[in-house]
Amino acid sequence: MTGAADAAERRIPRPSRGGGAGPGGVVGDGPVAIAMSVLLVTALLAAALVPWWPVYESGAFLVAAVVSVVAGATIGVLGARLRWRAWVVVVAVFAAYVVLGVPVAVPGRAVAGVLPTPAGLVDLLAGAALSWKQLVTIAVPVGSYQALLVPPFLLGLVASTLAMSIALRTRRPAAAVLPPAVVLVAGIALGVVHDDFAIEAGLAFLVSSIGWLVYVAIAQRRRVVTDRTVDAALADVRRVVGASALLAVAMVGATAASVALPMPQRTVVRSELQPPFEPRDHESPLTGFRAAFEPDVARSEMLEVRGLPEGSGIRIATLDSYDGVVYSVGGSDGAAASGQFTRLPYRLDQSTTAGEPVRLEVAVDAYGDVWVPGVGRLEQIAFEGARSAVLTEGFHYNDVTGTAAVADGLQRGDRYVAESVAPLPAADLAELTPGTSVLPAAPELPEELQRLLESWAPVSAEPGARLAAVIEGFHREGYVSHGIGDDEPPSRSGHALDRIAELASARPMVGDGEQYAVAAALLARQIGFPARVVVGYLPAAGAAAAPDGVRVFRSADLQAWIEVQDADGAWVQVDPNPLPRPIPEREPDQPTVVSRPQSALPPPADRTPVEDLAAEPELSPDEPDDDGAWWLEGLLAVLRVTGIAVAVLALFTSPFLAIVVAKLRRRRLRRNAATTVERIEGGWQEFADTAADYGYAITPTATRSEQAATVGGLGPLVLASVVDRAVFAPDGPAEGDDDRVWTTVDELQRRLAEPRTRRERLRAAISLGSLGGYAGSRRGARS
Amino acid sequence: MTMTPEDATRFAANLDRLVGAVEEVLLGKNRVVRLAFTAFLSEGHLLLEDVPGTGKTSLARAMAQSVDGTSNRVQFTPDLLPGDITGVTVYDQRAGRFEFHPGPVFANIVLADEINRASPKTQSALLEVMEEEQVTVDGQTHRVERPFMVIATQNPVEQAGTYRLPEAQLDRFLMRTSIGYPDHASTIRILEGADQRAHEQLVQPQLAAAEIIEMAALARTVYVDPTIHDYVSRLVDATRTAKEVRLGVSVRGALALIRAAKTHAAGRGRHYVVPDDVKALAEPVLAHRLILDPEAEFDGVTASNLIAQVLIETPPPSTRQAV
Repeated sequence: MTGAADAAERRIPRPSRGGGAGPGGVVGDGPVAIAMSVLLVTALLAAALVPWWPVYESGAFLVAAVVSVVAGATIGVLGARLRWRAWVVVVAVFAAYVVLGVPVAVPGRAVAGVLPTPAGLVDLLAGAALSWKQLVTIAVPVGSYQALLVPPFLLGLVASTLAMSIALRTRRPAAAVLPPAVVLVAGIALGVVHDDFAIEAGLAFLVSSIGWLVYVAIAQRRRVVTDRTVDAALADVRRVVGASALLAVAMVGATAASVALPMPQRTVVRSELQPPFEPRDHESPLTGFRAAFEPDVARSEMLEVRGLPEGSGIRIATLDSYDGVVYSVGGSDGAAASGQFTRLPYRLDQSTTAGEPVRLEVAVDAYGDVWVPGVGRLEQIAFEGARSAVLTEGFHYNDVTGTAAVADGLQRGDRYVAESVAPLPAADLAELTPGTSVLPAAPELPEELQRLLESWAPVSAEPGARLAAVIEGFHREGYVSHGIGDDEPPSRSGHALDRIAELASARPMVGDGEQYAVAAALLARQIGFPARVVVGYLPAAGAAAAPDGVRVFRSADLQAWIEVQDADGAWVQVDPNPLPRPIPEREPDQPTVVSRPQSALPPPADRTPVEDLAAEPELSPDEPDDDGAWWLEGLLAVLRVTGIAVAVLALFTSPFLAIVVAKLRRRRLRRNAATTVERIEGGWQEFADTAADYGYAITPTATRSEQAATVGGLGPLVLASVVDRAVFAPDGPAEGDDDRVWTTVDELQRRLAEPRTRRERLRAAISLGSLGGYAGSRRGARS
Repeated sequence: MTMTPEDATRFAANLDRLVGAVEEVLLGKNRVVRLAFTAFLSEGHLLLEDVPGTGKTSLARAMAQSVDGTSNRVQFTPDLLPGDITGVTVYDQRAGRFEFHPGPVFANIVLADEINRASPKTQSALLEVMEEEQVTVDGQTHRVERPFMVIATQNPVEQAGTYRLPEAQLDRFLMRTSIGYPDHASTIRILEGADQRAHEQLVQPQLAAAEIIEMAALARTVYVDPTIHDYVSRLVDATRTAKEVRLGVSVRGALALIRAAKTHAAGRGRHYVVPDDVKALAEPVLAHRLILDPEAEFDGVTASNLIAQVLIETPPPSTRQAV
């Protein structure tokens, strides 16, 4: 048998791929074929547009998506039916872009929402080039802001036209999945870091893609076997069922993976771009804290605020990055821990934030900094006055820390109205449970603070109780002095670790908000609470708002406090500052009992704080086994990244792996069938399936000789006759015939693969051509 | 008794010799010649639907010569009488008794040219001989020669003044096919030998008539797997249930297909039938037995198309029947 096969022609001709598609394309040009193509391609595009939704979260986006897909599909279908040349199609797409673009993608520039204006056309045309960058440098959702709907509209229009043209006009309609795939990838790249529908969108696209590919495969088979009958239709059904089974496997795998594996944070263009506002360029509001109490400015009116809840302060900035010297506003490197400063298009969705809605009207007096004071989580802000346009353009907001800024800084006379969600009043601190937010790393706690913590809040207590004890400790033992006036005892400014250590060890404990807030934040973090420092204005004790509700904040109202995160994710404001009271005389120095070597202080202050943070924020110089820990953490990080990458890779390749595994199992079952004749029959089916996977039109109602003739060459014909003899001859197969048949099958499979590229072999390996319909029909032929 | 592989090999060799010999006269018509011999060795008769001048007479004559037998040609006309075919009894005055004068059916191969031009009565006389292989005249039965085969022809174009063969009588032909015009290369070769008239070309006898009878008997012993019977049954069932068909293939048609498939398999050197044998002969054996729905005919459906469609839709057996 093998010898006969060896004597056969060595070269097996390739099939004519595409089956000689006519001008109407492989899937046909009848109304039903076009309708099916439009339906499936539209489903593909709809699935591909899902990742764009979190960027807009607006009905305007839905309108733009639907109009672009419908317009593109219409152009594609008309182009196919009327045999338009390529340039005609391009002109039609451009015309659709111009005519539909303004009302759909720049609705703010359309008269009555329909008629385009010249300014709208300019925005539309410019948006085709400029809106992409704007889209990734602005806070989401953007709604229908300016011309930011242009990217999905343009992509949808072009992809829809391309996909329909490929589906209806080319010999490779399967390639129609590529334009929607580009839309999908673009949506992911330009989208958000955390997408709640990531798995669903991926699966929807996978389902649509496989649906389209199965439809194309069936259509191609119909070109071979004309005039479908019930049996042939059943074969198609089996094909669809087979694909559905694979999909089910993929869905179960994806769902299991999404549940079992931690969802990795997406790396998208938005997160990789340098933020347009750089907080590192601006001084931390805590560094000039003491200057606000200088006698010449202490009484200066800084802000006039209307609408502030009774007793509430107003925040200037939230500081979450501490390098041992300066507590500063984070978010300069785009790290998720500190959030990122992005432009705010028109509003933020804070519907999930617990708290009370607050509407602040702020008038700026002597205050002059880049940080925009506010409360809670900002929803919307509107600047008023002569500089409103400049301020609006330069406004940036970090929704993670709740810190807002304008690039040019606020000036006297500026006004704005901010709508926010103010946090709920602080609960009983003792009942708090540490939240899960991750903050930028902080340096090792000084020995003095550690001892203070141990004395005030033993480890045995609950975290909430320990935090309450620490705050109570500051209130009880702390004294306030800015060290400015002659009547105030000395109090060194600054909040570097040495100053904080001094605060903790000195008796009496003397400092002001700058030191107390930093010390409390460090201790809270040591207990386990995510904690950060807030700088803002607090109303003076007993001071009431004016009758018209306007509260005036003076320079000396500046204060620093902390906020800690509870287990429910809410940030609770905690004021560790003791009430002003007479300060007792300084106690004489007592010899300190040294239980263990003192911690080395952090680097000297002349080093740039940010550089320190960037260098090694989590390293402690007295950690003896730093190197080992570093290597271990590095190794773990590599393993974690590798594991996630492997998991993601496995997720995406699982459908293909399922196909390969199914084929291997099918081959094993055939090779190990119960009887010799079944093994021989299985050998032929294995060869025929391989040929089908390589694109040969192996029809299920053909005899073995006809199938062999489809493949071509003498080898398949000889194999077909040998198998026929084993099946139909009265004496049946001889002993060992099955082994010889399978040897020949292996040889023929090798010859099929030999002249093909690696890509073609891979495509054959994951082809659905031999699964479902063909094999099922063969079984159905058994009677 | 079942044919052995060696018998099959010998059978195929003999058939190849016969086909090769006739092909020297009928150039480029291997398929038709092989079909004609398949019908001959299956003890059936052949209906050729052809226009004049395609080599029907040459085929009949060459086949007869190749088996060292006799052949006669009868040109059917409206005034042809049954006796003109079967023969007549004539009174011999010298001997004082009636003597039977055999008609042209008394030959191994009879070419009934334009059979549809004769009256139904005359057609029936021939068809009776085809079925019974004997002639009864004046109460006396005379057996025709063996092997015996009728090759009848019809002109598919000219229908005026013809009597269409009844379906029941068409059923008696094992196969229907056409010779058709030769291809370009064969036409050139025919023209190059134009100085020699076709019927003057002699074919050397390859086998004796008795050997043909043996081969026919041998062909009947080819093994047919039950799955093949099932396949044929499904095929004829499909012809009966097709909406374009008013009357499907009869049981006689199914038997004819199996009989022809056996000969076809032996002619390919096999002692067993495979689905390819059935598919190869389905159209010539079954198509002329169908009566199509008039509306389907009006829509351009032909019996050959319908058989082709049935073959596409009916999956052939591919596995051995479980014991």
